[in-house]
Amino acid sequence: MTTVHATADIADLPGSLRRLWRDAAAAEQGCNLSRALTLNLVVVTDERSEAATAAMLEALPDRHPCRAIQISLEESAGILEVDLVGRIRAHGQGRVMAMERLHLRADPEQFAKLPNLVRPILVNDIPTCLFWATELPHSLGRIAALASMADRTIVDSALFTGDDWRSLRQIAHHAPFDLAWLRVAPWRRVLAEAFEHFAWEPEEPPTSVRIEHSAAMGSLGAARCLEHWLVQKLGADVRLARVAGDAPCTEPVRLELRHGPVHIVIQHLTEQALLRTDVTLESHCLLPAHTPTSRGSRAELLAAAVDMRATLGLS
Amino acid sequence: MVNPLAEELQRGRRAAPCSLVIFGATGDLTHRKLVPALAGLKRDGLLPAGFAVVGFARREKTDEQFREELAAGVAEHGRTGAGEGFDALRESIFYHRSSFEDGDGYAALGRRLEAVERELGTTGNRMLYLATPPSAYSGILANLRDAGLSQESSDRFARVVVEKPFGHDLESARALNAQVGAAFAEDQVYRIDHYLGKETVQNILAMRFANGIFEPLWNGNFIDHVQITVAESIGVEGRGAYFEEAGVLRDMIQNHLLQVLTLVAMEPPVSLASNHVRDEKVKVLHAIRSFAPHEVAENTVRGRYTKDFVGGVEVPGYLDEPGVSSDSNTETYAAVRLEIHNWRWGGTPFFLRSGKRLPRRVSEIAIHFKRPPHHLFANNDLSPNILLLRIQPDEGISLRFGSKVPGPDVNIRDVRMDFRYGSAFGRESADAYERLLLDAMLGDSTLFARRDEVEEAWRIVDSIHAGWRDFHPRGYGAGTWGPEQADRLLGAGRVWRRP
Repeated sequence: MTTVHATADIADLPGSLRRLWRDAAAAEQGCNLSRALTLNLVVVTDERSEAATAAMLEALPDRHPCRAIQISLEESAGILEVDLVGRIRAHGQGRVMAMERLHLRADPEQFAKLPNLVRPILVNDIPTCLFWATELPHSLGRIAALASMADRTIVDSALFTGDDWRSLRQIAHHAPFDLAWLRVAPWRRVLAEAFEHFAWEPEEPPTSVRIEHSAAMGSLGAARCLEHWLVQKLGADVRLARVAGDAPCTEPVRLELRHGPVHIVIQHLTEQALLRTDVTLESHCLLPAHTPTSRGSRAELLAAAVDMRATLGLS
Repeated sequence: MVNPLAEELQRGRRAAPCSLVIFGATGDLTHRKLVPALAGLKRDGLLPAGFAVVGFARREKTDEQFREELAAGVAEHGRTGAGEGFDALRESIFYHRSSFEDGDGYAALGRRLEAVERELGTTGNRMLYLATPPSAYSGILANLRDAGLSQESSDRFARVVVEKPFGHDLESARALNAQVGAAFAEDQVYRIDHYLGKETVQNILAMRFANGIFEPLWNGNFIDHVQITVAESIGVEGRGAYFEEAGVLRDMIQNHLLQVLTLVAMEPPVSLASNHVRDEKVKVLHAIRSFAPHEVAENTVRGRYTKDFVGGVEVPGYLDEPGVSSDSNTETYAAVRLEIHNWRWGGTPFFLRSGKRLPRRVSEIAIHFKRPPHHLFANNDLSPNILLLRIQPDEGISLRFGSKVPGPDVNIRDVRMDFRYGSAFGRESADAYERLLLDAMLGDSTLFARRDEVEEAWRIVDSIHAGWRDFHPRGYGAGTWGPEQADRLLGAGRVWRRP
């Protein structure tokens, strides 16, 4: 991919975007330059998450060519600042503008000005997605102000420092989607498969579950997703337990489920990136099964979350 | 008791637990396509935890030797990340040695499968893949039936996947279908044509039936004719002996091109349920009449490439290829004009062409619309609108239409509105075998050919072959778009698109 920079004027962002297109066409003279935008993506970051999120956005056009509007809330920013770049990739004989990225830096105090800067530069007729890639604000109204112009809101609970993020369900007209829900997809799947091997009784015997997680917020967030799901689906008595180890981890460490004589253990084999599932039934044991864990990078998870039809995770 | 978490098993098209038995497990197809596809599915988490592969072949080897050979195949032919998928799958792969004719070998296979099912929790579901030369099908099918391995019950499935070619002509196809039918019910049978696993072929249905603007125009009132092209730039590439028996009519048109034609021409199905889709596809084939021998010459062109320069290098003619008989009567190019005799398409010809050693490797469907009824722009020679569905390469859809050239004069020039998969969806399309293996495990037979489709396609192709007995293929230079006679096939005012 090649990058084209354009000067941006905070007072005329639509005009700045037109200039970007003109400059890109001039830079790619001789090639047939076309545009392939399938998504408006509004991303909110802070100093802590900005670099990681920028890396995510680099990878995103491979799956979702988009107009990305990154809003960095930085106390050092002071006034509103803006950068504009285009990312162009070769496609056959031609060139395709696969991302138009507009980076707004603003002091959090300036937040009220942002929605009206964003609104006129959303491309019409394509979906708009808000990715809140930072800590939860004290006032959920900030998220709501941007979520109201989006068709979908995505959060990553691994970035939160507090664990009271279920309040997010209160905002906007759609429930946010947590990337942790995708990280535990293989856990849900292997557990569902294990339930194919015995007759589960909803009333008796009771179903108890212990989910172990590490000290990392991502691990806790993922464990919470599983807890929420198992309580909803099984009415199970689910206990979360923090175990030693604080290595960065975005999945639970171990899950143990008991239902009468049935004993299911799912162990996260971190080094091999596999889930080992052991199922003990009343009459016999199955050989251990190995299933890949979620190996998606955050960019891949974000890309997948944009594609998900149903709103899951925090709903 | 219903699984309270079953929703997870239905989400994301993940297959139910099962064992996959591959007959011909030491062959090329297994190493180049099937196991790399399984590794890709495993990598993407689309295979169930309860899954096993049992390779069935004649050669003596251990499970571990078999795994090592497959690992090498995955390393060479698998897509990115397939190696990781294979590692996760490795311990679930087993080898069963037996000849295809030995009944005891199948009884032993049954016992082996029961043990695997108990140990790996594959729940008794079985998929049986015939990755062998067609000559072995008969013995395998009979032995599967005799060993009870083709039987399914209310709580476990038994499915058989059969690779093309599905026969050599109508008679042999019927005989093969009878052999398959003696062991399996039709809804257990999955006849695989990898062409239908391509994303862009599947998109024909999405484009036609997920959009409101095309279908009202999709008939002979607005469409002048349709051209379907599947061109290969390579020659027979060492497969001369095989190709001598097939020819491009049997090898490409009987299956790939006629399948594509049915998707373009079919009526909207009641639903996307496999039999609803296949019912409509087979109706299209029913509406194509067999040619009488005297009609074949005026509706078909048969060609054979001759020595010429390709990329600055001289390449041999077909008759000089290894394994090809000097008095061969096999065609490497065929163009066919077909009429679909129904209300929608009456009077609208479909032109199918396929060949080897053509200038480019390309597959496309070009819908040529009729010209406007009144010629308002008198000084302009208006071209017809063409809706182009590109299957490969550069998958996508484009529409050609006329636009005014800026300036004081009224000049109309053709311009193109272009949609490219690669631009709009950067994601790599799944390999056709991944898609089709997964569909077979899920019990979705939409993209597999049904018995009556196969036999109807052979009926049409056989009638062409009958008319070809008396004349030889016409020569065309390697690297050209086929014999000149193919241009005349289209009739006045029409030309082949140059893809």
